[in-house]
Amino acid sequence: MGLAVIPGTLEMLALKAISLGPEHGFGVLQRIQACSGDVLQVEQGALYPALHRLEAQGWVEASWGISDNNRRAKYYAITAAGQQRLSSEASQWRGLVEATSRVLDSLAETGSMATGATR
Amino acid sequence: MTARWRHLWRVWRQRRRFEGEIDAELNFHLQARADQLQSTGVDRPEALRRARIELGMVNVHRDGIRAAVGLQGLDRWQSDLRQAWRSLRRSPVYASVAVLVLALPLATGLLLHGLYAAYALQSPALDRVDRWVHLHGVSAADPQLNRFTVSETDALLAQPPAALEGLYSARLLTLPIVTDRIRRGIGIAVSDNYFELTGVPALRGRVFRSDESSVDGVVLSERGWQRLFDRDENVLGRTLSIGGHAVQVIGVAGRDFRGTQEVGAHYWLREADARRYWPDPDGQQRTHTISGFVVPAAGLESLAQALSARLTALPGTTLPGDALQHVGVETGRGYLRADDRRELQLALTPAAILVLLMLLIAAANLTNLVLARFSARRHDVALRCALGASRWRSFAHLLTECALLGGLAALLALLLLAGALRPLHGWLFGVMAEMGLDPIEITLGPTSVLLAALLAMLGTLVFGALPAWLVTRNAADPRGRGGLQQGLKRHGRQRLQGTLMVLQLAASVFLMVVAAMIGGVSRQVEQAPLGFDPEGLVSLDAAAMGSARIQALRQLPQVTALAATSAIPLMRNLPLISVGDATRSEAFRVRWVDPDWFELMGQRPLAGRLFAPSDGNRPIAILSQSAAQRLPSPQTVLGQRLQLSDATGELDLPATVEVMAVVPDLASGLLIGGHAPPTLYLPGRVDSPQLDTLLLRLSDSSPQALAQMYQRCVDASGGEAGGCQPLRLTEALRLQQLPLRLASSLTAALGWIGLAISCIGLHGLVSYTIVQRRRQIGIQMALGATAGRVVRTVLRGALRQILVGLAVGLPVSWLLAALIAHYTSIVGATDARSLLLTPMLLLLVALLAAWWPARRSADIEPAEVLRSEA
Repeated sequence: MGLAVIPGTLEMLALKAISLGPEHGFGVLQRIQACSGDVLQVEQGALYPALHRLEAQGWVEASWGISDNNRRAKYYAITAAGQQRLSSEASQWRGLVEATSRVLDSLAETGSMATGATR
Repeated sequence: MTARWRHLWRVWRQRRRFEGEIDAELNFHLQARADQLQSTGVDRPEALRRARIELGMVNVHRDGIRAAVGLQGLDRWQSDLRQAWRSLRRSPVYASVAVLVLALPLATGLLLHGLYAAYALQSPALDRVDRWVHLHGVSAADPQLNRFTVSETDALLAQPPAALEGLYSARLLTLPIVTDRIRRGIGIAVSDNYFELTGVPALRGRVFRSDESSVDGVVLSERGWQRLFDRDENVLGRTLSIGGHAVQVIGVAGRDFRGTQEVGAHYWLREADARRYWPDPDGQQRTHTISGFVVPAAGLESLAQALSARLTALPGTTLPGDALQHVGVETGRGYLRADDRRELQLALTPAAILVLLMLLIAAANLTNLVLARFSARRHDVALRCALGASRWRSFAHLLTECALLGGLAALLALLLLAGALRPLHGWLFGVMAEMGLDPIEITLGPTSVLLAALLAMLGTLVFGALPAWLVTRNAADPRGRGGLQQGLKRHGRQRLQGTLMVLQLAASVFLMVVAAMIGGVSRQVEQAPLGFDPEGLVSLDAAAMGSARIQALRQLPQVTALAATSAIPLMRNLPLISVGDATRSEAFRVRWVDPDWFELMGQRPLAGRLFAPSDGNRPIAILSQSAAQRLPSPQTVLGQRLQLSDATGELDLPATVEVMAVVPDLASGLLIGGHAPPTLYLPGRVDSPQLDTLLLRLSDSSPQALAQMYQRCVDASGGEAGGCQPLRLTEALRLQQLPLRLASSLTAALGWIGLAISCIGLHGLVSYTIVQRRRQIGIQMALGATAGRVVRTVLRGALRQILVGLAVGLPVSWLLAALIAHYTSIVGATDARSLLLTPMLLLLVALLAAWWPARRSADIEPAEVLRSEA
């Protein structure tokens, strides 16, 4: 069973998915899930408001095109402002993960040292 | 943030398309997922069913998308607006009254702002207007000399410093223009580079160029072209007689350019030509304004220093006692210079205060109306709150209705003004236009729309927020027992309404008294007996007249009488002197006249005899009737010897004079200070220096006849036009009456509007009080109170508020009247009619406004009321 996307990160994930090339909403969903090795499960209803928020901010731009299965679809492409936003959000996220991991690692070490001392 | 708003605007404008795209996008998602499932062997209906389940509720996603782009808030606001519109349509009387009450002061405020903006903020159509600068001189006596002498101008204009692109000079010419008739025309004598620097191109022919100084002629403005040649297509080459000189038209300036001065120009003449035509012998008059354009990022301070250095290198160019110390540079903005702008601001401040007062009355009135309306809708508000609407939502809902009222009021104000602006402008400046002065057009631009919207929104906040806050305060509280009714009572609703009513009545009293006061002054000035008939009287400058000119004028068939005096009647105040004996003296005005003066003015002696040519310079005098009455023995004034003295020492007075006659009073000087001041007449001759005004009575004073007289005057002195410019005394009189008539009409309009607004408010308040006290009145009537008694009770409450309003407003008005009377010589400021009758009128009208709804209280059926309240 997959994991739900951490609240507040869906926009970043969608932006990253779109940065790989113009894609429609369903494709973005597939990309996120595929890139996460089917670990992350995106709530389908939450994706579209996130995509429209990105469009309203000017980080992606939308245009209508024809999909692989010959249907009319709305394609999203990243803008220059979106690229900048993605790099800043990605670096912030990596910093956060690194810091969180360091805390968790140090706690694990402290825990094992404490166990050794008790013995 | 900007991108977000832009996106929201785009989406809002293409709402239907946006909604369609949401549906298409969600549908694509559904179909794509179904395709994917179908490719794994699931049949199509099952695939679609599963895809729908995975996608979830489409309506929720739609709302999520709308919220994501900011449409949800907008939708809510639109829905509130629609409801407010429907609600206002259901109460047309309330809506019309509220909109009108707010629109009237808004329109007045916009008119005032338009007037200020036209002169002080709107700049002429110049290229590089952001780099436009004016020079001013600084002397020990005057820190803001806006004009320069000929030599100062020449020194400052020569070889501009590097910080300047160039400087130009301009000088106002008010010389008569003669075609088939005489006209007043405004001309500007400008330096050769004027049009090059201002960047104004020629619409017809050519404009002046600095490298073509040999071209002789005038350039017309489009107004001048219209006024002087009726937009004749063949205007180029036609001649104009300006100040006695025939000058050819060489071009018409484009862009509807009217010059850089506050008075619109009809023509421009090269400064060098103007000096040639009308030489100024001493060149010491400060008549030239100097302006120009600086280079980008130029320092004004260093520029001023560089220009000031030139003045010190100019020996003998400064006026004695008023030496120019240095030159200042100020940024050009609007048609007015900085000090003139300050003066305009000062002049408009009282009017702005009156408009604000009117806005205050309107806001207080609307607060009362809105409070009454919201109270009547308490069940509606409580229901909304009970259904889960937050207090803020209910507050916003109520405030939206007020904002809609404000918006409609702003729209009405703009419409009223758009329709009335041209006639108002024509009426305000009619006399100026007749005299050849073209005032700047007041127009409604985007600034006016913005100001109207801002003022309306401010008004909305003032009158809407308090009632909405009071009404929603308790309705939103789930623990509130008795809800709004108690809440309002707790917060002193009636006290608040009473205070607001008193406030607006007091402000109305003040406005009405001020209006009546100014109206009284204006009436006195208009009805002042002049003591002579101004019709057909024309004045000329006697100082520039030689005997040949006077002789030539006398021979004109339309001249029936001619006399000289020391000041144009109705234009200048006469000097004050002390007249009396060793024990007592009186302050009289003094006028020198030649023997023909009294006949010209149609004055016959009340006692004694008038001056005769044989009197020469004898020490004799004639007194006006009011002057004679001030002397200790008015009956035996003839033959009395009076001692004359002049505190300034500037007048050439005989030490004593013998009184020869008493004549009727004659209006003189500024009528606002008293129309017929006590006057002492001294004999003079037309060539004596005190007699600087020549007065002619004409049998025909039409523009054609005046043109003939002007030409005869100019021809008699070999083409010299100085002093020949005629001024009709009827025009001088109208010029005196104009500002007072304007002020009087404006304040009267404000006063009546204020009173009307207050009465509407009082009417609304009494109606509302009756509705609120319906049960109490029903019980009183059930217990035997008569209809008359009930009406009296209601009226007593209203009367109390009216009286308190009068008690607050009247002392303030009286104080103002006393201050005006004390610090100015304005007659009629403390006119009893204004100060007492006006409040009586207000009391009467306000009582009527209260009586109208009060009489309805008698129609209340006690049984019905008690049944419905039970």
